[in-house]
Amino acid sequence: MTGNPKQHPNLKIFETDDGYVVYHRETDRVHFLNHTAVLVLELCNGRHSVGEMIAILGESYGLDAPPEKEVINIIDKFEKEGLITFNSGPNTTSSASR
Amino acid sequence: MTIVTDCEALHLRLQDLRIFAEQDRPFSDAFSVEVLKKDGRYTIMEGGETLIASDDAEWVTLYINELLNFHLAQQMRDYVKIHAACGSFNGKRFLLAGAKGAGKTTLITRCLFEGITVYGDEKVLVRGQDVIPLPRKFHVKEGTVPLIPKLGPIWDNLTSYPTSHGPRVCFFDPTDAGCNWQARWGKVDTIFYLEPDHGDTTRVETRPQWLMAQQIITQSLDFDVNPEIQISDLCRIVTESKTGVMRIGPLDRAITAIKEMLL
Repeated sequence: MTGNPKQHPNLKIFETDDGYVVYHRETDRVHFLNHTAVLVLELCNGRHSVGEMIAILGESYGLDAPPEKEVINIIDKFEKEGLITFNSGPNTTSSASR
Repeated sequence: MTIVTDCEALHLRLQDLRIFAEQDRPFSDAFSVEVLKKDGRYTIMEGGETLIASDDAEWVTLYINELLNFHLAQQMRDYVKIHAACGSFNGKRFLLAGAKGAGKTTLITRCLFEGITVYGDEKVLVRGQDVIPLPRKFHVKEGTVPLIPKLGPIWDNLTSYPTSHGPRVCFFDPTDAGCNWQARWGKVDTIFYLEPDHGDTTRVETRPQWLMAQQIITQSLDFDVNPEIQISDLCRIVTESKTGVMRIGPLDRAITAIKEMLL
């Protein structure tokens, strides 16, 4: 599980005002994401490492401490549900646990 | 919808199944069945073919009801459906969505006696951003009557039937209360997701749209093999409606809450 996370190509995303409804065409499952999960999924574009995502979200929300545990938990769930895959792009710097 | 019988007693029972709703699309019109009584047994025939025979008029009525529901389901198989009662107030259509036992039938039946127009108690079909109530008789349980005092005198004139899940039910529709009954396409203004509370208060809580979408999609059925358009339609219905989760306690407060949201 190294590399940069990237959205699975077979996702169909429907936006609501405060979240996403995501249909995975391959697994035929529907996922419901809150605002924070949406931000993480949006950052899963293959260009950011998990470590970078933690830093971006920490800055975006003006948090005192980087939301490492929260982001890793979401990434884990996304991966288990097949919403993301990991590539080995140029930015492979990751958080310590990855 | 045609049900013909040569038995007067059964004819009266079969009136309980007739759909009197004015319908944009009369799904039930395709239904035609004949029941002949011979040697004390009822023979149910459809398209000239014998389906089954019984000597129990109640059982025959319930069988024909299931047959009608089967044909309705066949007619409507191309539509995704939401488990929701449907009505309108102040010219605005609302849904009472929720799981079995959430209180849809009880609350929508109470609405009927509170100046609210009532269309259906169980499911709506979805077409784009429009919905149409399933033109099905309401299944009102005996235990509902004490909650709706004005239903009492009407209930006394209805026939109750056994169910597989316990309490007897009566087949009921708005015309039994002297009201108009329509099944027409229309846009949704407000969605209430019902959560049983049975406490001392009724309250409507706001939830994020993505959570409301989850609750509505979870209460929807008959998706296509490729459900993307239907999921999109359901999401748009949610995002373009006012929404709230109603925790149902006293019904009079629930009626007030519905009216306030639709004013």
